[in-house]
Amino acid sequence: MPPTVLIVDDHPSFRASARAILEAEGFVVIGEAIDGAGAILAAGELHPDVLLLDVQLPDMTGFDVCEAVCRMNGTAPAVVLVSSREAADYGDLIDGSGACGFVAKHELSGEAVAALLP
Amino acid sequence: MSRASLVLLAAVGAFLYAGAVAVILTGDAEAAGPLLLVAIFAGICFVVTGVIATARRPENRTGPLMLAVGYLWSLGALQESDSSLWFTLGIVLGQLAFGPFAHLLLSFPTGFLERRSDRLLVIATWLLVSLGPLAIVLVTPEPVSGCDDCPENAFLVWENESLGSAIELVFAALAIAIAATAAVVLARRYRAASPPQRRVLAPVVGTSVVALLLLVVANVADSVSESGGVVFGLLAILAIGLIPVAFLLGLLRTRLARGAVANVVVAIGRGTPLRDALADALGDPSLSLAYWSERQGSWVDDDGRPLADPIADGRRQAAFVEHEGNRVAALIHDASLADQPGLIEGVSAAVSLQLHGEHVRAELRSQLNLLDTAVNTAPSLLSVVDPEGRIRNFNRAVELATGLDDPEQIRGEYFWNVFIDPSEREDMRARFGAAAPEFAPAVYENLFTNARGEQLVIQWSSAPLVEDGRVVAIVAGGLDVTERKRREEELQRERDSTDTLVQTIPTLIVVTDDSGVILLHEGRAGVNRAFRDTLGWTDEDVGRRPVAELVAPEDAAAMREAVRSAGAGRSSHELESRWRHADGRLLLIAWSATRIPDPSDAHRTLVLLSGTDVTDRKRREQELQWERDFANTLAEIVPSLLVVVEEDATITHDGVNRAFEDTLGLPEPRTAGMSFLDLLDPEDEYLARMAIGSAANGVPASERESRWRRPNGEPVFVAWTATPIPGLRGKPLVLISGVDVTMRRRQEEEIRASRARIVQAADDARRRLERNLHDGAQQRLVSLSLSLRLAEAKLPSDPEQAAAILLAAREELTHALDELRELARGIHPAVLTERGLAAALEGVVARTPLPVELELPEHRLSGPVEAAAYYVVSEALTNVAKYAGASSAHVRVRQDDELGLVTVDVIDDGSGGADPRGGSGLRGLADRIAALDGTLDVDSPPGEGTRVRATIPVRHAVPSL
Repeated sequence: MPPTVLIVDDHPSFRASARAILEAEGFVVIGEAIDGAGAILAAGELHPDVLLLDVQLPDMTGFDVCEAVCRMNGTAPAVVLVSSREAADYGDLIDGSGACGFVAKHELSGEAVAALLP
Repeated sequence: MSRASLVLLAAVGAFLYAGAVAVILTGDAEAAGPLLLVAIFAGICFVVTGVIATARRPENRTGPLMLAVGYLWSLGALQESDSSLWFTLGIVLGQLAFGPFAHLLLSFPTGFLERRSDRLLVIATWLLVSLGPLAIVLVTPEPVSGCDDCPENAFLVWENESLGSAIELVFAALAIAIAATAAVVLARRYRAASPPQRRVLAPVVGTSVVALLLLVVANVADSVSESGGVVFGLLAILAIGLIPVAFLLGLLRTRLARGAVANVVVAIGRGTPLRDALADALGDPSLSLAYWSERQGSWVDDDGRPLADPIADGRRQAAFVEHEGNRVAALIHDASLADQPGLIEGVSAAVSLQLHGEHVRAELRSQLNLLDTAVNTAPSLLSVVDPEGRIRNFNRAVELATGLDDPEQIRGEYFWNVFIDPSEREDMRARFGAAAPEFAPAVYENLFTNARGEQLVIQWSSAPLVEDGRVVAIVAGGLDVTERKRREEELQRERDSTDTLVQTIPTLIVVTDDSGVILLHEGRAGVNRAFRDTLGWTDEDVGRRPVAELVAPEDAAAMREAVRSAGAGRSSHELESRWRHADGRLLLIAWSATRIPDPSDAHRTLVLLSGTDVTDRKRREQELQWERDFANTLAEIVPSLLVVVEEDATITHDGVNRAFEDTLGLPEPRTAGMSFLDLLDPEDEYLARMAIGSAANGVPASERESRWRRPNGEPVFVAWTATPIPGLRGKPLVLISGVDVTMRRRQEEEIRASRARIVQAADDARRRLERNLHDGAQQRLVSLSLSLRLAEAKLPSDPEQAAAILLAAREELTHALDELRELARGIHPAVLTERGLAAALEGVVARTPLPVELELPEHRLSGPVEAAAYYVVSEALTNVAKYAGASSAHVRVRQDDELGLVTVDVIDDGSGGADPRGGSGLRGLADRIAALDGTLDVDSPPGEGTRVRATIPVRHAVPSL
């Protein structure tokens, strides 16, 4: 069964591009959210296998969302953080966030995401 | 006492003793005998001597007392009567004579009982001799013991043998006591008497004492053996009888002394000194003579020396001797000689001629003594020179003046050798020779050095002494005027030096009389050289001229008053008057007037005016005052805060300026005495104290900033220094000079805030830019990248979809490019740099959604100014479009070259009411303009549109931020 994905980003063009790329590589995109609050709600309802989470959201940071989602018992998705910046720009925030990995936006592919999943 | 009285007294005596003899003869003749004869003889002696004494000395009671003794004595003869009555009366009255006898003895020779003890003794005697025998006869049957043939006791009233014996014993004892006492008294009196007195007393006292002692012995012997009693009784009565004989002998002696007169004359003739001859004649070895000196008006002795007055006293009496009616001498003799005035008179008369001669000699001697004393005690030199020029006689003053120890060195010496200095001796000798033989009276002064080396000035005056028309001597009297000369010279020197002083001191001196008229003496006016030099007047100008005429007319009254007042003894205070210079100038002179004595007339006073020209001093004072005023004004008007403090930071009186008062809100009266440190914030106090202390020690303190506090606690930032300044009375003062830098501080803080805001604004702009890039172009490019990768993946399997993806990607790329271009323009409009403000603003206006009128300078402005103007207009128009609700706007940029200003105005016709502080956009603009030293004003009254104006100076170099 192909893994289900919830895409969280405030830019519509990135959400569209990401859906096209991930679906093309076998992922099932089950939902999209445009901010942190929507992401947490959607994750609770949809129980995706993977949460593709932009670090810079309008209402909170991706790290905050990651922390909240990871506290979900048993149904916590694997979080993959994305950003148009380099991973080095965030220092050790990514390692301490509970996410299973980080992918720069312009390097996003189904293969890069699958490689990070546990 | 008349002769008849004397005869009568003698007759009474004769009658009594005749009766007594008759009684004895008619009585028992056997009982008579030698005792009775002696007794009768003694009684008659008393009567006879009594009469003689009464005749010679009627004032003396001695005579009557002798008579009383003589009369009463005769009564004792009644005891020889055969009649019992007369016999008994004879016994009772027979002792009465002892009453006056005791009186006589004790009062001799005056006849008066001078002492109380004497009087008591006499009274006791009277009582004893009157009562004693009466008591005996009243109780004793035989009052005369052992007399068998005596008649009976006619008065026997109570026969009592033993009582009679007892009374007899007591009578005898008392009689012995009285007799012994009287003897002792007389003996003592004799011892105390002077020799002449003794001569008078001796026979009487001698016989009396013997008689009394014999009476005592007879009484004692009577009680032992009858015959012994009779013998001693006989002897006693004999002695008593001798008493008047003794007196008679005394009288005879006196009479014989008259013969002494002849002896005196003989003795004088033999050359015995007068006094000794008189003393011999008068029997008074203490005799002395006194002579009356008419000239001295007093008594003098032999040598002419005055005697103490009075010359006589109680013990010594004076008998005066006259010659030709004038009193010439006095014999001062023992007082007892006064009993024999006849003797003295006789002797005096005999020697009166001699006494007169002695008197004259004494007078002469007295005069000579006086003259001698006068000559030798006078301060004047007196000398007698013979016509040869030898000194013959001289007085003590001459001896002293010559300084020679031995007066014999002077006598006989030529006077020029004594009184003339060697160099002038020949000259003097010649002059003396020339004066001969008349030696006319002359007066001259002579300076010489005496034997002791003392320089003396003697003023001589000489006159010739002429005898028989010939000059026998020249008498010269001299006065030692050395001291006077010396004083005169000293006075002259003093006057000279005073004159020199007065003439040389710089003080102006004017001497006037007490009415203020300047003195003129021998052509010299009473002014000194300083006066003449300063005021240019000559002596002729001012002599005899009222001094008040020398001052300006307005000052004349005050001067007259001061001079008048000084003349009356009240020295004036210092006055300042304008004195007239001879050339008409007026000089300001400070002067005062004092009264001084007139040296030439003790009754007159002068007024001394002394003054100083203070014209220059006044001018300097005025200059100094002007400088002081200027400095004060300066201190008052400078914006610096000035405080003058003492070493301990106490603010001095009047020690702050107006800037200080205004800045600190502390008016001057409140600061005096206050500590400057109290004005400071406690944190700054220590360093301020150090700075002031260092300045007080002469080390100026560098500038420092402290917080000073107003009374209400509000701080004032002051940059200040402490500088030492010279203080009065050597007290160091410190000038604290400060500038209120509160405003500068505030501006600096604003600049700091402005800089911070600019930095903040730049940071914000960069963050916005990053965000815009990240959110805009970057996101699109990321999508583009993903789209291209997806298209690449679809191309082999689904070329159509790949073409559709590429088409979308191209649109995405176009959007990204648009966004980048927009972003670049927001960072800095390139058109502004390349084509200038006008082109840039046209672009802005084109993007503004309302009509905007542009009014711009034709030439380009400097880059920073163009940029500032661009952003002001751009931001303002953005605000107009967003908030103002305006229908149009007007933009005007002008350069005013005269003012060196560029003004940028953006005016709209909108609703107004804009808050210039609101919005970071406007504040950013204000900072940007402030960086160019310009200002940004927003004028936006509600309902009247808004005007934003930036004013930017263009003259200054733009500071780099």
